[in-house]
Amino acid sequence: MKLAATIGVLLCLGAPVFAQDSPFIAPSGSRPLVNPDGTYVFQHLPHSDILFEGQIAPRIIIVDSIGKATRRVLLDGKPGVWGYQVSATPMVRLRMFDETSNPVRTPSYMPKGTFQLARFQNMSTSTDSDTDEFNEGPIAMWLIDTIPFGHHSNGQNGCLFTSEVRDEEGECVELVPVDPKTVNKENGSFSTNYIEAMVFYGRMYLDSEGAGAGEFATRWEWRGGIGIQLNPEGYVGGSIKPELSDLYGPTRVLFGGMAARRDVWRCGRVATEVRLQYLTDAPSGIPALITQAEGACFPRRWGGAGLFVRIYHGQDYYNLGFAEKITRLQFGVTLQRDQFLSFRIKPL
Amino acid sequence: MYATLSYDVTAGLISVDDVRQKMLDVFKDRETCDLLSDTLICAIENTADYLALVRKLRKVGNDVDPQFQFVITLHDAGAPLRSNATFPKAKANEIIDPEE
Repeated sequence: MKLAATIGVLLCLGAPVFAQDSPFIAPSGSRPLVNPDGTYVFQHLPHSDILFEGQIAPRIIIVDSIGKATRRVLLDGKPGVWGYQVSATPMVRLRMFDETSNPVRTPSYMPKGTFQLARFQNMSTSTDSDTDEFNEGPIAMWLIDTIPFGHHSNGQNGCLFTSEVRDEEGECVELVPVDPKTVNKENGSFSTNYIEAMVFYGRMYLDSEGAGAGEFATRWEWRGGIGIQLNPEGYVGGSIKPELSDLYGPTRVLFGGMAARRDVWRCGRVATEVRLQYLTDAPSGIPALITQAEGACFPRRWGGAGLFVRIYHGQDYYNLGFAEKITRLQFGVTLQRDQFLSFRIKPL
Repeated sequence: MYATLSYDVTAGLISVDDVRQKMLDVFKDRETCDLLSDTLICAIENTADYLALVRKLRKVGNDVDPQFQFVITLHDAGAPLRSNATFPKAKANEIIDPEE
C-alpha cells in the first residue's frame, strides 16, 4: 500500500515534468546547458519516514558565448575556441515526511550563481574540413565550472540544538550542558555560504545523424574533474557559524565523472555519473568520503523527462541532516540536465 | 533535410547531354524533384550525406572541367522553400517535410 502510494505520488509529481520540452541536442548558436544541477522527484530504499524527496533546479542562463563558440570549432586549422556562460540557479530541495499532515520539513534553499569557462578543440587527425573524419572530432573540452557564491539554508530561526534557547539578545545559549547534542530538526536554523570551483576535461565524439542541417552533434561524451568547495565563516550574510562549521565539514575536495550517449534503445539520452566528496575535516561519526553513482535514461518523446536510479553513501546532504550518515538507493523521475553539444561545419 | 541544387552545363569536349547524365547519376538513388531544367531539390539524410554528395558533384565537375558548375545549398527538414517555379508540389513536400 505504501509502495503504491509512493508510485502514485511520483507519477503525479512527475506529470508537470513531462510537460517540459528540452531537446537532447543543443544546436550551435543556442544557449546550451552544460553540467547543470538536476531536477528530481524520488523515493528511496530502504524505506524511511520520507514520503518523497525532490530537488528543483532550473538554470537561468544570463550571458552565454558557449553556443557561439560551437560555431567555430570545426573550422579549418582546428583552432582552440573559448566560450563562457554566466547563470543563476534558484535551487530548492525538499522532503515530505510520512507523518500527520505530511509536513515538508525543513526545505533547503540553495540559490547560486555559476560562471563557466570552456575551451574546445577539434582533435581529429584529419585536416580536410570537408570530410566526415574531420567533423566527427573528437572535440576536447576543458571546463572550469565555478560557483563564486552559493547559499544553503533552511529558512528557520530556531536554535541549532534542542538543548538551546535564545536569550534576550537573540543568541542561542545552552540551558543545561548536554553531550552529545541533538540537532533541532523541527525549526533549527541551518545556513552556510560557499565557494566552489571544479576543472573538468572531457571529449565529445560527433556524428551527423539526428543533427540539424550543417551540423555534427555529440553522439557520446565523457568528462572527469576535480575541485574544491569552501564554506568560510563570515562570507557574506548567512555564512556558516562556528558551532555548525565544526560539525559540517566546511572544506570538501570534489571529484566528478560522467559519460552519456545519444539514442540507445528507447532512450534519447543515457547518462551515468559518479560524484565523490572528501571532507578534509569530517566530524566524528561521519565518514570522510561521500559517494554517489547515478544512471538515467531519458526516453524519446518524454519531453526531456527521464527515469533515474542512484546509490548514495555518506553524510546526509539535507540541511539539518548533516550529523547523520545515510546509505540509500534512490529512484524516480528526473528532468534532462546536460544537452549534447552540436557543432556547425565550415561553411562551403 | 533537403538540398537545392543549381547547376550550369556548358558545351565542350563532352556533349551537354552526357555531362547532364553524369550529374543525374549522382542522384539516381535519391528522391529528387525538378524545379527547372537546371535546378532541383533532393532529399538529404544528414550533414555527412550532404558532404558526400558535394564530393561526388565536385568529382563530376573535375571529370568534365570546365563544363559543369554547381551550387548546392543545405536546408533543415521542414524549412520553408519559397519559389516561383512550377513543380509538383506533392512530390516537393515529400522531400522538404517528410513524415517521420
